[in-house]
Amino acid sequence: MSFISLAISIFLFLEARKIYKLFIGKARIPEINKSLKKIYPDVSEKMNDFENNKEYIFTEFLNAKSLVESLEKKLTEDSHKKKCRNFVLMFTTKKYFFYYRKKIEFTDKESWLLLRELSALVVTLSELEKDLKWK
Amino acid sequence: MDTVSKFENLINILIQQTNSNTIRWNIGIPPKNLSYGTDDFFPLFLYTEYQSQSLGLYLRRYRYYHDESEYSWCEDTVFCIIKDDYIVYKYEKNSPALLDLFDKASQQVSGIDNLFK
Repeated sequence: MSFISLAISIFLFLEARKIYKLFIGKARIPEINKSLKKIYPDVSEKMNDFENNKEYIFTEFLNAKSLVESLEKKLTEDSHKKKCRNFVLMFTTKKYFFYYRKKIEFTDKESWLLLRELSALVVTLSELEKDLKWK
Repeated sequence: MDTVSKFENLINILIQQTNSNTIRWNIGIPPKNLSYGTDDFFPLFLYTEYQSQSLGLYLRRYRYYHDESEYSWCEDTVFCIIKDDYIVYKYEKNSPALLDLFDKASQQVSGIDNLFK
């Protein structure tokens, strides 16, 4: 008897967590998406004169990174999480097998690549936002 | 590569080329298969040649109906591939890169840089 009640408790706990995640996602994902969307034109504007605006561009990228990291925790689907992970991983360089190093300096080409990934991420999030309206 | 990545990649390249003025954007008339049989309005249609392929970029203004009679006006930026005066593929996602490309392209067409020479 107590075994059944334990099973039900666990089931309810997992359900409650799912609902909590859904609500926090519904509230926060559109906000984060909006902030990410804003970063793109700001950085792109400065890309013309990359050498002189390096500091600004890297700071904006780090902002984007922390936004994406916080976003990752609020997502429920694995495919979306993977996209966030891939973006965050662009800020690391592989040194040895499992040893990663943080990366904060980028070249011109890498910055364009980051911008591209950022834009693709925003497209995915915008679609997700539409889905969330129906949940 | 999925469709979004492909187009984001292309748009990214176009932004860089527009920045360096390697490609020139021109004002054009929307093709018939876009503007006929619809109430939508196209405030600005730009096109360019990239690797002997016509690419277009335009604004689409349309009525967004809240219910049967009430509506508000909305605007979308769309990227398209043109073949023989037909729009064959449209990419109309909510993408910041696309908005940025439109901004850069219209800036180039406006000739704002020439005013400072």
